[in-house]
Amino acid sequence: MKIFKFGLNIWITIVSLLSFLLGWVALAHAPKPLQSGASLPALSAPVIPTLEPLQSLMSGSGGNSSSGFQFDQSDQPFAGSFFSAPAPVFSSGGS
Amino acid sequence: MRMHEFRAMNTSVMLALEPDTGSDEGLRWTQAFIEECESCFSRFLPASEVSRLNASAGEWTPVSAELLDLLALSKAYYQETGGLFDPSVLPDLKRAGYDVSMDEMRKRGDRGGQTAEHAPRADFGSIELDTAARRVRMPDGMQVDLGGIAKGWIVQEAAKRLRTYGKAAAVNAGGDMYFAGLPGDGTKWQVRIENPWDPSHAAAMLEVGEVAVVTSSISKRTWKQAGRARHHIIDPRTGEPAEPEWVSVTAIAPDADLAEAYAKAFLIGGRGEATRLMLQRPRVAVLCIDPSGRLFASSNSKEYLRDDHQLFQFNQNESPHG
Repeated sequence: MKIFKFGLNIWITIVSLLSFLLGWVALAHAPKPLQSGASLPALSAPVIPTLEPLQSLMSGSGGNSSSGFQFDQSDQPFAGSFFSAPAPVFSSGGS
Repeated sequence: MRMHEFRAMNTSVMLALEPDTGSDEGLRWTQAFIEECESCFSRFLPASEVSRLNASAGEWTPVSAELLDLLALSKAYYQETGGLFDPSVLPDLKRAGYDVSMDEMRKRGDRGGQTAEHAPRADFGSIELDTAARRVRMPDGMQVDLGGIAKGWIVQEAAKRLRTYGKAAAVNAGGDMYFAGLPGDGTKWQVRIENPWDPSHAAAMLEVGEVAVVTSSISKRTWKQAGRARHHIIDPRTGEPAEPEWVSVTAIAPDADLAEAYAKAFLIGGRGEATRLMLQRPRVAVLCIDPSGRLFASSNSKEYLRDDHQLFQFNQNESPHG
């Protein structure tokens, strides 16, 4: 009985030790968790189309302007009237 | 054709775009462009670039590329026309009573007496333009009014930008217009030259392609100063409102700034300067109406006239041709 108990203790010790070592190795090779301040992996964000800035109108479609002009891009309603008509006769008489 | 009408530059502005796609985006952007240009080039707005330039005569002043471009064109036309086109007549224009916007003047009525005698002005040709550093120095005391040539420049730039939204576009600002592309199936644009005494009737009808049409007249923008009838065309040689041989001059040219400068030069210079001006710029066609209603025309203007007209040559008094 004594010999059996001694053998059981040895067995439990060896198995515990081996389990500990296996866990150590497994954790050592596992991917590390993200830590705060670490750089994020690059994401491929979808391309969102943007409206052409109004100021670029100054230099033609899409060109860079060296203009000093600043457009007011506030949401002001456009005064005036919109309508459809056949090609009009334009009138020139001085202004 | 999609149209948009609004008020800017103290006049009525009409935009026309073909085809009519149902979207008004291009018309809206063009209106914003015109209004922004006006806020830069108007002499009536204290914060405009032109007002700041006038306030800093004698010093080097940084300017936008657009204003520098306009001043360079103005200087070239001043030299070409022998000073008949001169944007530096502003002090005389103010002396004649045109010191606030025309909308404001119409509200106020008679402008009262002249405030000062005509003072000699510095030569506009002596304005210094530093293209590399984008800055300008005007002689001390010089003040410029780029009203007409700026309107032409704006009209043309606006029409070209509006055309990017369609096949053809036109911009008309109070009778100064530029056409980009041809409407419909390649037909010409129709332009009515107003009868100066009755604007609802035509003095002539034009058919034009991609050109500018500009009319300079002493019958518009008029006011009373101490009971005297005044108008906005100042003769740079006298500093007084011009007493021209023509009531109105219409210029048809590839560019609106060119048409503006030459319409004014022809109007002020009269028949005596007409031949020299025509030789200077053979691509500018002009139609001039004299006080008796006769239509004088350069020979190259016939290609634009839709109907037969009784035309007079500049060196002709009685017998009509054409």
